[in-house]
Amino acid sequence: MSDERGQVLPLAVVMLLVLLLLAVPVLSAGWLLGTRSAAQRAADAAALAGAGQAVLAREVDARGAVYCARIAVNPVGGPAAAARYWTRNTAALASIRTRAFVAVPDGALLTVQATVAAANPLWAGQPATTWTVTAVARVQQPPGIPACPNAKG
Amino acid sequence: MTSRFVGELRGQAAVVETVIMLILLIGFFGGFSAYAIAAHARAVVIGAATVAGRAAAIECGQGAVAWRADATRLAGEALKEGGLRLTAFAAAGAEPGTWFVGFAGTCGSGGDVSVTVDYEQLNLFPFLAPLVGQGPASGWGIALTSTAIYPVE
Repeated sequence: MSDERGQVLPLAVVMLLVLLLLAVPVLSAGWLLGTRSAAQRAADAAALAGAGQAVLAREVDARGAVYCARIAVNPVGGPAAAARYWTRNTAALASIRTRAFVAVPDGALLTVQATVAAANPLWAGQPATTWTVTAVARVQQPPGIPACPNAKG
Repeated sequence: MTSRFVGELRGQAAVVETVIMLILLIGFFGGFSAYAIAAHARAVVIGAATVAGRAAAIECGQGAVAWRADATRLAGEALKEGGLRLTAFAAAGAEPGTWFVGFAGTCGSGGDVSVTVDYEQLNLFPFLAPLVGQGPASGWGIALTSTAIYPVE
């Protein structure tokens, strides 16, 4: 009988450890969702900044009146601005280890895709979780000025 | 007499085991709950900074006088809608429940607006603060912060 004393406590400790191991993925998921939300915000800001660099070319007739406008994404300034905002928005997130940045101008649309790898805060040895976040920004045609016939977007 | 004494000892051992188990259980489930709440609060703070940053970038670009006040109000609403308890508007390091919204940047053309939302989450388990990845705890709280940087529109 005396050998059976004190059996509950070790069992309880083992059970708690098992529960802890089961809880880690759940808790990590909650934390990582916040990180993903911040990454999406960075992509949104990057797309807006890149689209903000769009060039508006106005075509005028013989009298100098604007009869149409053509929107073009700045091939250099657009991606550069997007990359700058991506970096600035994610700099505060120590969990972002790598990023791959692709800017695809398509007429008046600018698409930003970024791959984010976030480390698990509760389990340092676990592989990082990776997502791809996408944001699309659209440059609007100026009101009252029709798009030029060969304009895309 | 002897058997009664042994019986009393057995009873005390059971009480001690129960107390230790209860402490372990409360610690485990309390820590689990506190971490889940902190992770949720972190996601809400990130969302509030996103909303406030977007509003600030648009309103200050349009020349609105009260763009800071509007962005602060939107951040507060986002925090409340996220279920966070707001006690006072004060700088970081204050009591749990306090929140603060800071601004930086320029509203001119080509400028950007940076909005930082701080929130002090109540936390009874100080060891959890580093796991949330949001800096050192101040007293009985976890300092949650998120910064959104958007180009002025």
